[in-house]
Amino acid sequence: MSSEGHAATLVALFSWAVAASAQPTVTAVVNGASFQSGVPRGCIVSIFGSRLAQSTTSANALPLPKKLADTVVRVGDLEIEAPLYFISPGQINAQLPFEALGSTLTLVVTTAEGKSKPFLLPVADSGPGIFTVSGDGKGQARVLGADFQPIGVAAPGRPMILYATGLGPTDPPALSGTPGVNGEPLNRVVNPPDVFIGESPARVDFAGLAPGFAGVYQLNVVPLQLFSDRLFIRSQGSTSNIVSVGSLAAGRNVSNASGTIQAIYPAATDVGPGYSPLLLVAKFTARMDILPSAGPFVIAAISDAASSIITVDPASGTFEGTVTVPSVPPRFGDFSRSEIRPIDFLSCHQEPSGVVCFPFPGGIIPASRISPSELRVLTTVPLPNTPAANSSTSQLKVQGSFRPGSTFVIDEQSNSSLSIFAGYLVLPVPPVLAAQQQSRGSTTLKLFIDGNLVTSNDVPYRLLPF
Amino acid sequence: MKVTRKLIGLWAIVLGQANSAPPQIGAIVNAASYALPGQSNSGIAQGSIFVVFGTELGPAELQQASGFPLPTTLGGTSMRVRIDATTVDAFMIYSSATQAAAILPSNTPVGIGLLEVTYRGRASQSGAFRIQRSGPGILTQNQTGNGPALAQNFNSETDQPRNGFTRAAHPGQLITLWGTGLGAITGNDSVAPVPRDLNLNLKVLVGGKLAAVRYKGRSGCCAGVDQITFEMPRGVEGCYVPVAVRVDDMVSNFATIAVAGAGNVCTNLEGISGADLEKLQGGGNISYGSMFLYLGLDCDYYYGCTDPRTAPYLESGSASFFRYGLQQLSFQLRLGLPSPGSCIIYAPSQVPFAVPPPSLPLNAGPVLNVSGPKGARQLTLNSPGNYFQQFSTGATQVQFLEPGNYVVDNGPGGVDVGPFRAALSIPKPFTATVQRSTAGVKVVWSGGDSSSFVTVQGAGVPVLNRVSASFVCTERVAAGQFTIPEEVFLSLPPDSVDHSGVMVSATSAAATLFRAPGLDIGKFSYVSSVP
Repeated sequence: MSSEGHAATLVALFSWAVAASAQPTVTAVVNGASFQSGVPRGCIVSIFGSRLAQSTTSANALPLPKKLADTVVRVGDLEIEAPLYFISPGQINAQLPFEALGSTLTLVVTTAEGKSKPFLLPVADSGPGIFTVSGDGKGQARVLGADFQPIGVAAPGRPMILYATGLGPTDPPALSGTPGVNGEPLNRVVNPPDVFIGESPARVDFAGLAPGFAGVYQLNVVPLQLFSDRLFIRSQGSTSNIVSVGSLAAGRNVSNASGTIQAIYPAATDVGPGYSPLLLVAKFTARMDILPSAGPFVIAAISDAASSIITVDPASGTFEGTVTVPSVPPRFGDFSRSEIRPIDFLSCHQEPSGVVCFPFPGGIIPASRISPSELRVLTTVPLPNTPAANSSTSQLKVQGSFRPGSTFVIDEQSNSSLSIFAGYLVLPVPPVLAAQQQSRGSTTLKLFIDGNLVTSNDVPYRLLPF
Repeated sequence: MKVTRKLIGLWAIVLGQANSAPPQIGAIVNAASYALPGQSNSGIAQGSIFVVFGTELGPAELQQASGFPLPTTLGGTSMRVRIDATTVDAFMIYSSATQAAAILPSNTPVGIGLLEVTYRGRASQSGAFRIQRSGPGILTQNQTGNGPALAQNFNSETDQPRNGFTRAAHPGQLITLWGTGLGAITGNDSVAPVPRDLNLNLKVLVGGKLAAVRYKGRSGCCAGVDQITFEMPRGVEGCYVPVAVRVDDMVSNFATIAVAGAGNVCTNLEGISGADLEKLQGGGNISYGSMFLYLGLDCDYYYGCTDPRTAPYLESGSASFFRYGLQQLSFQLRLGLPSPGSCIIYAPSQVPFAVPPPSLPLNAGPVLNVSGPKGARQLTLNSPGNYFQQFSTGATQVQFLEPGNYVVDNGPGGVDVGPFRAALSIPKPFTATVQRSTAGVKVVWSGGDSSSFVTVQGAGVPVLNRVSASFVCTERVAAGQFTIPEEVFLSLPPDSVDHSGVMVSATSAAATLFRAPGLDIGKFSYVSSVP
């Protein structure tokens, strides 16, 4: 080949390289509030990738624009343009159009530099996500009081307003990109969600599009009981991110409350499983002096996978505990009759449209894949005495008595059957699969006594490298 | 995301939810083809009938329009289409809770439309769909968009029977095909249409041949319903002759028509008569026996085999004798294979896969005797209705199934199946190559049983995992080659149209039919998977 030929080839290759590198790339599409996967139509989504825009710009008017700077997001084979809230090179916040029909939609980002490869987006019937103060889907929920002022502390019977996305169609309907209307008939959700606050169902007085916002839902709720600060939404079988409702109005039934809470499994030295259900086994201790005037109060040891809730009645000197423990079949890898569909992370592979992983056939994890340390720790977790059909977890109901006016203790010597609880965290499929990637995460354990947060503990976990 | 305080105080609002939910749209499809969103022919034509699937669309009990003019509200259901600044009301045909149908007015602009269904004053969230000038769909007898077409054989003005396995069309005969989606008319869509030939670039592909079209336009009876009258091409014959309508580059669903060279009863590709097929279709059963000779390679990638060229041979014979219904027999025979020289598209179905009920085993005797150039072997009864014998395993040379003439018999027969004798020639090995070019995809082959046929099948590779579609074509072995027609690629998902994303394979089996007392049909065949 002549030198001119070499030069031409190099120029051509260079041009190709430039063209290819300037193309937008979509790597993940998640709920814009919770940052979890599984998004329904009408949901605000966060699209992650590279070169998604050449500048950072936000929408400044409603209805939301379908083009910001040179960035357009097209959805489905009809290439419906998604309303845009925000664009930047690495992230776009958009609304998944209500109008795009189909169970799986393609999503393509177009900029002045080109088009991304289509990203495959399975569409869920529901996928609630709660907006949080930090904006990352974690920590404290964005909660207001009925007067639209910050709520201060949450208390039973005190109304509060939450904001979420992914609650599906409304009645009357709203066009994508347009805000909820500002008067009756308001855009109420067609499928009202359940809201859980402090481990109990809250009363939902309103659930619908927030007036003045596109794709943002407002929920007017009243907590009825508050055993902890946890807040989450369930809608049509989907559960939102689990967040904090903020400070609780503390009870006045105990003094000198103290305790510890920690994970027995996974321990820092444990390498997590190569599958999606991560066993979490926690242990706690609690100690408190019951005041002479005390009424009934609750001790709540909680995690996102399981909890131990103990109701103490000083007047009668009795207590009743409900402890979450794994059902029997999942302890041996059999999730076939549970709500969890275990995914084999070792089957994950990267495809142009995203990471693809396969579930275990029949929902059964082979015994050979369950780590010895997981099997060992399960022998220390009590069996349930109140089995729940078709669930990965069941309950151990414990009743007991104590001498009124005494110190109430839960530890290895006293009321120990209340002190260990366990369940499964369902780990998400990683949005991007790098060679030998090792995913990490964490979950938080908290101990509440009579509404007071006594202690909390972050539990880090990691997955098998794959 | 930042959420700021809202000025309006919603708290005081007391929930006043109505008892029922508002309508929800699941899919919007052509009323004849039922092509799903994502399929290349899923658009809705101006002036055509479309069906909406969903929930709470209308009354629990189906209500139909009772006459002309068609209403825009029926049983409390109305459908409104918005496209850019234009809004049109569809003309209702029927309404029910989960399915409603209407005519898209001919004056609806083309583009992406938004459909809103209202039932008893409550509106659905809008669903998007593509509105186009033409989007032909052929009505089928099973009303799902596949299988035998709703077509009539023209004998005279007063004698036009519905085409079927025992009322087959003849080459040269006029056929009337029913469907919807040819396109807009100039008149009012809500009244009885006036038959008038539409000015369209329309082709009818029948059995791989272009038919002469005599009429293409609305039927005289029914609003939104089209008729196409064409002449059945010569040289086309079979119980499942594919028929598709193409307008410009829009191709309809592929349906089938029964065609017989003589008489009124068709014969399918494998020699089964239309009378038997009709009996099966009517819920009847037939007694069917199948005898296979199989030559393969013992090369399983799972167990470490990486080079089939060094793998040993596997030789076996198997047979089964059962009394089957249509669904069970469809597992044994590919009953819907198109006629030679043509293709059919299998669109994805919304109907869940159903496991057929168990079949009734038949006793054809204790053993089946097979004789060939290398001597005689026996297949023994190893479970009711099933016979099997491994001829060789682990050998590097073919031990029994060499090319030549083979005969199978069951001696004196059994209690259910009387004595039979069937003969078959194992031909030279069948080999096929797939040639791709910008002109299309051609399959060229050699060897095989010259009296048998080749099956060419493939699928649009679901690059985007959207709705995929597969196709199967047949051609006589003697033809030596087959070019997959353009209409097949136009019917695959759009990502497959460049041909490169389409998987294609070709196979051929030598087979002969036989009969026996107690047996409606018997088939003796040879299959080789040796490359």
